Amino acid sequence: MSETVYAINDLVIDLYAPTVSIRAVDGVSFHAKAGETVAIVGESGSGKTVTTLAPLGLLPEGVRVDLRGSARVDGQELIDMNARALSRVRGTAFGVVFQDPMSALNPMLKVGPQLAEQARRHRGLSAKDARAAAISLLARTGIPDPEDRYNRYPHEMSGGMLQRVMIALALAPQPKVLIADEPTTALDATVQAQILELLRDIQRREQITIILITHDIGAVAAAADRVVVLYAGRVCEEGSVKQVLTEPIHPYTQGLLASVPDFRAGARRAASEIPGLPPDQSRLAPGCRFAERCPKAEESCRVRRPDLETLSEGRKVACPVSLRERKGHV
Amino acid sequence: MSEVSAIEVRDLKVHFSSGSGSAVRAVDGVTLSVAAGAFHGIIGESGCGKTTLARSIIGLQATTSGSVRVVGREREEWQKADRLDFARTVQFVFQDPLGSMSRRQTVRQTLEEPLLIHRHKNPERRIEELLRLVSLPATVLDRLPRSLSGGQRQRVAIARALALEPKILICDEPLSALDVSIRAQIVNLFRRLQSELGLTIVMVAHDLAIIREICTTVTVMYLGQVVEEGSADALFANPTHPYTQALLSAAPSADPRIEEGRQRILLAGDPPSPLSIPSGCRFHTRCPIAEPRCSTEAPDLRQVGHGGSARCLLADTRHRPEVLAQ
Repeated sequence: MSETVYAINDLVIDLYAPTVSIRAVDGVSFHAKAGETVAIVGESGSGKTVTTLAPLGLLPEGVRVDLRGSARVDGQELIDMNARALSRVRGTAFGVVFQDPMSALNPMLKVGPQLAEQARRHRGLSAKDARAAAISLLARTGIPDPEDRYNRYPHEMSGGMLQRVMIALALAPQPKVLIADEPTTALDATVQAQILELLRDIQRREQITIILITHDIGAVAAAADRVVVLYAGRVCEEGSVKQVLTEPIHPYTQGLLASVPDFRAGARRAASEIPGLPPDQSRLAPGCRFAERCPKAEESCRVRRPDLETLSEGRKVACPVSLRERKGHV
Repeated sequence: MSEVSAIEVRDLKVHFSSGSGSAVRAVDGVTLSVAAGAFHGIIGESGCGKTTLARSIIGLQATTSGSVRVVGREREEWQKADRLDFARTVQFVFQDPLGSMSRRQTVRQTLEEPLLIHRHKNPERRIEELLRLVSLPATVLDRLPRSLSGGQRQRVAIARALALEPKILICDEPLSALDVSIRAQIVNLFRRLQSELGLTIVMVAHDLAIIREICTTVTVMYLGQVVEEGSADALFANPTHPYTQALLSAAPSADPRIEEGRQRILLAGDPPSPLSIPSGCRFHTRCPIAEPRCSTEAPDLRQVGHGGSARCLLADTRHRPEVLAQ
């Protein structure tokens, strides 16, 4: 099979703000192979964005970060890499698509030249070639009439178009890995569907690895191959999209899926809710992070951290209680 | 019908001047009736006018023309005559609970304010009742909104809206700022409140699944107009307008087995700007089945198969091509 392009191993991230410190990521590991889309799913505070962006040095200003563990892309270790080298890796190996395209583009410049600049800087193209590359990028991301759009300002384009430009911008350096951080959250339903379709297309056509960060289970089902479910900074379940969404094993994944209403599922049903709130990450208890809200929690869950156990190739679950029940059934 | 509708909107228009002479027609001739005791959903994408419509029902938005009647009374006159009485009948829940509360007021002060203004006889006891109603512990009373979680804040906002025992609650995207697992908690809260208190609820949302789950009747809007309406069950089972069909089709399913075999209706482009509304049928520029006449003839809302109505020249006609794959 294809090789692993992106690997996070036992990553621990502490965030320090002036008044509190937070263990945002607590021993997360996952891998992505060339040409696959891995979705990182979780609610706010689960650490999904920090896990992927902090090793690249992309974090809000004013937050001090302490990173331990390993994050490798293409065999290169990102943790403890110096700022210069990291900037080069960011420009060549990674493309990042942010939630809000307007904030990632310079509103004073036309979109075409912004794209050409990326292509020129990271691929060393001449001005003329860079322009051609930019136009081809616009075409590849499904923007009609790319020659004309090249000369448009961001404010002249719609939200969906801008998200396409954002994706083109991320693809400009020909990255190995495309990180898409909630790429559809700010968009309308009909436009979301277009962007998910585009990401799928790009992944197939260009054999690129996509890390899709999202809280939207629908987006996972529509656009990903594998999924990693995070809760309060830890992986609770991992597997193929089909396995995890149709046969969730971890009680959190089960609760999360049950709380997503699906109007295609026929008769109206009461959304089942997960009681309570995610834990306060500045004061964490020793055991399973989900124990407080978990219907299956036992005494041992509150004391001992559950291991992420491998069930089969790529299928992992961090819940000894569920796994024991499962074995009992077989 | 003998019963008076809770809300009766007639040919309502809200136009904004854009400075350059042209007007943004945010709400452009909406007629809408919500029966007492209904849970009514208004869905559509950004710019369709759903929020403006909701705000004008309660008078938060000045209207250009048309009328709004609430439990049979003309809204504008009622508010002029007795603002407090109107406020005791209709209340509003905003999308962003933090933005709709004073950051310096504790939860107790937030809940107390409407009770004091309306000279409630026993504010202390009412606050206790409200907390019980929205399942909040008394420990939140002395906290500031910022120190609460998103779900707790939305519960406070709902409790405040319920303080004066209104008959009607208008909610503008009350769930979209919340995480999935918390959202389900608030959905269930709305459902419980409606059956316990017999409220009429109008909920504006862009999340179809939630509307499907809790609403009894639905209005679909596109560019300032109603394009389809009907009972939620019938409309979701049998969407008639090509826009409603595309909207339902666009929403990804959380079930990969459904996702796998599914063919989406992908609409071209984004919704047009309300500044330059297309001629004829407003949807014809993105419609997968548009005919030449759709660009010149503006369709009216008319009755369709599912018992509600749709604004489409081709709705329920025999030669109409099939667009829905699933």
